[in-house]
Amino acid sequence: MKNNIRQFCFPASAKEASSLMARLGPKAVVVAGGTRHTRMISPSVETVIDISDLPLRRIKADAKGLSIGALCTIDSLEKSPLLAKWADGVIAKTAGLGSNALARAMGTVGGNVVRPHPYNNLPAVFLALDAKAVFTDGKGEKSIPFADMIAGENMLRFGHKYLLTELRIPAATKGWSAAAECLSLTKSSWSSYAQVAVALDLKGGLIRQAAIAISAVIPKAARMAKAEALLAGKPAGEEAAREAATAVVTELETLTAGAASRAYGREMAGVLTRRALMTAFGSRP
Amino acid sequence: MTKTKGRGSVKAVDGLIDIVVEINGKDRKLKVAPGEYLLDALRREGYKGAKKGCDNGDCGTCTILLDEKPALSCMMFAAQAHGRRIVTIEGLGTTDRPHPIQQAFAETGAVQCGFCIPGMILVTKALLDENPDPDERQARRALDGNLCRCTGYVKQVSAVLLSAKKLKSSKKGAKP
Repeated sequence: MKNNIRQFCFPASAKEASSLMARLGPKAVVVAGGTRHTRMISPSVETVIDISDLPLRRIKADAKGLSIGALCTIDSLEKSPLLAKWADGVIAKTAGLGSNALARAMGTVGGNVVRPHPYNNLPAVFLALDAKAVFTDGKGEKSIPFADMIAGENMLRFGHKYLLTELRIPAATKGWSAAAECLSLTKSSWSSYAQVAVALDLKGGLIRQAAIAISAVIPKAARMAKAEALLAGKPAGEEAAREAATAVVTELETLTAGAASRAYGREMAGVLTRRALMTAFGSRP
Repeated sequence: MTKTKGRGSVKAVDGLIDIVVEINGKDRKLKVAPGEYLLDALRREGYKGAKKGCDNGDCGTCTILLDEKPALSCMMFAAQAHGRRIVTIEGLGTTDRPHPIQQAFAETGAVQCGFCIPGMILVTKALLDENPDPDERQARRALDGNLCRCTGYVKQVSAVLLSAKKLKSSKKGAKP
C-alpha cells in the first residue's frame, strides 16, 4: 500500500499525458507496465498517470528506419517478426535475455529505457544500433540520440517533463551483423553480471564500422569507443575479437575506477564481447 | 479532479476511489484505496486464488490475466485495472467442472502443495491462447516466472503439454 497516492489519471493521448505531467510536476509519476516502478514510487507523489491507453504499441519499418513504440511490451519485441529480420534479430533476442515471462509480458520498452537501471537489457542494444529517442514535452515532438537521453540531466527529465513516445533505429542498421550476450545467475534472473550488445557493418570480411555497448558492469549502459576504433578497418575474425575484448576490459577498468567488486563483471564483459563478436562475424558469409 | 479524455480520472473520496473492473466475466464496482495493490484488493473481494508469495514480482503466485495477458497483481495498483478485464483462477473452472488445463495439472501430478498452481494454470492458459501447440522449450519459458518449491517443474511442463492436447481434443469434440 502506498498511502501517499490520491488520484489516478488515464490520459488518451501523448499530448494530454505530457500536459498532465507539466501541470502536476514532481507530485505525479508516470506508469505503464508497472512492474518494479510501482514499488519504488516516491512518498511525495500524489497522482499516478497511467499511460497504458496511449496508442504507442506499434512496431513498424519504412525507408527511414525502424520505429518501436514506447508502450510495446518486452515480449512483443521478442515475438515481433519485423524485429527478427532487423540486424540479425538482435533487438528481439535481447528482449528475451534475462527476467521472466511475467515481467516481459508486463514491462514496456519505455519503462526499460527511461529508468535505465544497469541491469535493464534494452539500453545497450539501442545504443549499439544508434537509436534516437522521440519524445514530447507538451509543445511538440522532438528527438535526440538515445545516448543523450540516458546521459546526465536528460535522464531525470524523461518520465517527468518529457514523455518518451518511440525509439527510432536508422535504416542503415537493418543489414548489420549483430549479437547480444548476457551473463546472469539464472536465465530468468532480473539482475546480471554483464551484458554486451555488438553491431557491425561488415563488407567482404572487413569491419567498416563497429558498435559495442556494455551494461550491468557500469551504472549506465555505455559504448566502448576504444574497442570500436580498434575494430574499424580490421578483418573480422578471432584475432580482432580478442583484441576488442581486451580493450573493453581496459576501458571498463577506467569506467569502474578499478573497483575490486567489479573485477568479475569486467572480465566477463570481455568474454561476452568476444563471444558476441564471433557470433556477429559468423552471421554473414 | 484532474480531467482526461481516456478512461478519465479517479480521485479519492474519504480515502477510497471507485473503479469498475470486469472480473471473471462480471462487471464489479470496487472501492479501493488509491495506493492499494491489485492483489490485496482481489483477495479482499474473495478472489483468494491469487496468492501473496514474495509480494515483489519474483514468484508469480499472484498471477492473473489482465486483458488476456498474464500479469503480476502484486506489482500494479488496483486502480490501474479500472476499465479492464481480469480473469482469476476462480473464473476458469469449478471443482465439479474443471477446465481442461486444471484437469491436466491434476492428472500429471503437477500439484503438490498447490500454492503456485493457480499462477501456473493462468500462465498456461495465456500461452495456449496464443500458441495452441507449444513445444517443451516454449512451455518451460512460459513458466519461468512461476516458482515452485515442491517440484522440479518436470510435471508442470508435462501438464502444459497435456493441456494443449486436451484443448485441441475438446475443440474437435473428442475426449482426450
